[in-house]
Amino acid sequence: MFRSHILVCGGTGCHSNDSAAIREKFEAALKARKLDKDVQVVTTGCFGLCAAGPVVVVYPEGAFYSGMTVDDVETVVDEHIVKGRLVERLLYKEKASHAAIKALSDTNFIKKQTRVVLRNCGVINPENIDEYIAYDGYQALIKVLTEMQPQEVVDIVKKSGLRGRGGGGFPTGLKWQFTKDAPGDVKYVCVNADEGDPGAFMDRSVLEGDPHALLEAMVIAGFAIGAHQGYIYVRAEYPIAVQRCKIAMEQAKEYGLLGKNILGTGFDFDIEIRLGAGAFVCGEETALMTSIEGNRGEPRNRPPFPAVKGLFGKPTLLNNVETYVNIPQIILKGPQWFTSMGTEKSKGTKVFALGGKINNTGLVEIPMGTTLREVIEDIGGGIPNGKKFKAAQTGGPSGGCIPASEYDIPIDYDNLISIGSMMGSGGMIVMDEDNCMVDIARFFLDFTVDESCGKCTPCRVGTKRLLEMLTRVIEGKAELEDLDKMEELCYYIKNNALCGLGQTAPNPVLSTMRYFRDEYEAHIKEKRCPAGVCKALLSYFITEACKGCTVCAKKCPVGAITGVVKGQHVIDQSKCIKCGVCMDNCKFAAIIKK
Amino acid sequence: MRELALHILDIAENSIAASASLVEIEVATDEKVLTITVTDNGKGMDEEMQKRVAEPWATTRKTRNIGLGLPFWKLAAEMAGGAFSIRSKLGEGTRVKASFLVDCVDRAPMGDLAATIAALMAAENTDFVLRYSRKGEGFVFDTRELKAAGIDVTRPAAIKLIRDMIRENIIITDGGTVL
Amino acid sequence: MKTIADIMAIKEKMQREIILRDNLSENETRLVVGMATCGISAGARAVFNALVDEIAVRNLKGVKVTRSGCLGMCKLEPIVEVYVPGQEKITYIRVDAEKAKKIIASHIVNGNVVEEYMITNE
Repeated sequence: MFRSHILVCGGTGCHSNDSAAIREKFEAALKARKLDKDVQVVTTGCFGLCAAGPVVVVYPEGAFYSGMTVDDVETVVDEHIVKGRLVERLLYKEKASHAAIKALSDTNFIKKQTRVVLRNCGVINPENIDEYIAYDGYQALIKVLTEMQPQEVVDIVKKSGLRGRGGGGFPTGLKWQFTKDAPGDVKYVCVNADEGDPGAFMDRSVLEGDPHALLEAMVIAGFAIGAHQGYIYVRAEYPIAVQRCKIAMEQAKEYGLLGKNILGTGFDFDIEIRLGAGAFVCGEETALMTSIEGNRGEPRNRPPFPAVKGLFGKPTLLNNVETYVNIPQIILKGPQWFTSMGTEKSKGTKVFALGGKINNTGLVEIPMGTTLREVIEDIGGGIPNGKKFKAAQTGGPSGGCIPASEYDIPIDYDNLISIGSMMGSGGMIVMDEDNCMVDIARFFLDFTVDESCGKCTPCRVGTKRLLEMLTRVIEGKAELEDLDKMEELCYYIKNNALCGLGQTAPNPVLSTMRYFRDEYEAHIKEKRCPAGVCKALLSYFITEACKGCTVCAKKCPVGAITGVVKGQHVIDQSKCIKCGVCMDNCKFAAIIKK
Repeated sequence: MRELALHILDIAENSIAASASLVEIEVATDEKVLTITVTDNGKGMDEEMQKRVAEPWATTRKTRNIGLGLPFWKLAAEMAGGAFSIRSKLGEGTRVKASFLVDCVDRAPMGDLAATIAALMAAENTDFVLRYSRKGEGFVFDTRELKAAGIDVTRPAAIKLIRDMIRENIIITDGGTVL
Repeated sequence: MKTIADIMAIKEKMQREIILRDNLSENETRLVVGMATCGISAGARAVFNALVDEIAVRNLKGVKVTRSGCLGMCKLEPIVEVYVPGQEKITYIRVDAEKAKKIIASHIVNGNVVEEYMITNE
């Protein structure tokens, strides 16, 4: 038995900061001190606090070390493991208080969360099936295969009130029932792990941190609807996730938890991984299935819905990763446990990927009904540099923004829709007073224009025209009546596009126009960007505070700044490309933009 | 109280109140007799007090340390054809021993001994040892061993796990019957 | 290929190893169950075990269940006192296993005090 466990985060965020080298260094350092039999080093999935990475947690103290480097490893081993003293310097510090936090569980970031989907992420070694089993893994599958009938499983999912976590929020139990009831011998279970929203990475984290949970849920789903084959559609940009899924599948097969005659119960179920090439539209269910079939990833009309005619023309159950991962725990702990969390119509928890202007960038899981204020201020640690909250964008390019006036709105499916946004898959991008909302709308629209598959005209041509109009606003070339035209075009696209991508593409524009019309009008009427973001409406000037140090003139990439030493410099507006380098480098704050 | 296990919890609570750092609970069954001994290293009591403990109604009001628990325990043992004894020394500790005829109809059932130990484990400054045996078979559970292995036995997850393990061991030891 | 019994055996073996990773917290919530003769005979042990189970099943961190002696209100037993850091103590009376579960779900998880079980001035 080990007396201490060192957990090193192996999620994509920490991995790209060299956490693999840190792990190796730990092993070498322990070995050198002959402690390798006493102390276990484990690579885990994402802890969620990606901004503090690479992170390392040492148990039994639960000491939470952040921003580790390879050079810090020896210190931790010598001080913490050998002498039993915490390394104060490396302990995570909460930005608001600057006080060193001893244990991971003492951070506000973790304390205010309820971890259901992420319960094993950062706790277990995702490449070791035994650790998953230790945390009740595959118990739900055993229960389902030995004690339950398929309909009972579907009934439990229905009773739990679980809704699809991929965006729309369709009741999961109903989807299972439709697929179960659809006639046909051959059915499929499909996972949507094609997480395409900019800034969203919760599915990746689950696949990296707890892949067995997904496999277990898929087998349960297969049993419930009568399917024997499953597909995981995951983007090729997630190499670590794909790798861990493959390892998990091999281990599950070895243990007889996947394949023929699972655990000797006579039930067969197998899973294949299909890699997506990163097209956003392939997150749309019909396009996803078309892509699995080997065709170009384009959507088609619904109905028929996948539950009736899906993959290879057979009834198919398609849910996203987060939805599935809830299932084993609902089976084990009962639907009442699940319904005890959340609001009346939205049960359970939701994972959000917090990004943008926020201190604790990372993954958070909260019960439905938590307010935006709690998420941003308590868990997210507030906005950096004391700036003011302006809005949060949820649902990515399909969603909308939540303005400051709705700061205290309890987050659930229906509330978000009522204010013109949506849950989406869970990206949450926080914006402060320095963000221009017109620019944000353009960013997302630019993304959908790029990602439109081109099959239907409203999306292919409509979003393109909309982007052109929006660009005119940003360049100060638009007229006020253009706003009305844009709105009309938005509704036209929403009503006529073929699939979810087009139908939701105008949402960021509509939502920002609804809450920040004054910013649009400032761009048009005053030719001014209130947040100082839109370059076409900005100019840089050098004030009398200039000491003539010549740094700006040297740094300017286009040679637009001239002046003599110790004399006030001047920017040639015709040459200036508004890159802002001069302002960043001025030591006397003598350069302003307006 | 309907279970012997509940009595054991009650007696052991006295030991915790007497600031014992170690409480040993022995549950031993042979063909005929079930013996339950609770031994602690708490503050103990003088001879005067030991005598009064045997006479419940004369004493319970005067001391908060003892309460009604011991008289109930004595009654339960004597009702089941067994015996009750208490030995204590000031500053050294107390041993309370009760025996029961296994087959006596008035003997209360053992009940959930594992749940009793689980409830006791939450006491932070006291260690517990459970010696359980039946017809020579048995096992020993010791919180000191768990603590030495770095396990915080006062955490709910640990309590639940250990309780389930003890329960299983008891069932294995007594061959699946409930005593 | 493993059998169900094999999986269970792996679970038990591994649980002993990973129990170290359950975290300790200085700033923890405490639930105190009255566990004197009066409490025990009124069913305090079942309450204690229900609380422990519910916390373990929900995987709540930083929540502990502990025991205390007689609080002098024997007729109101089983009594559970809840200490959440930074908040006033809440006392629940005549608790049973079902109420214990509700207290965890409502008070500890969602932060809503269960007023109907609270002690009153009667």
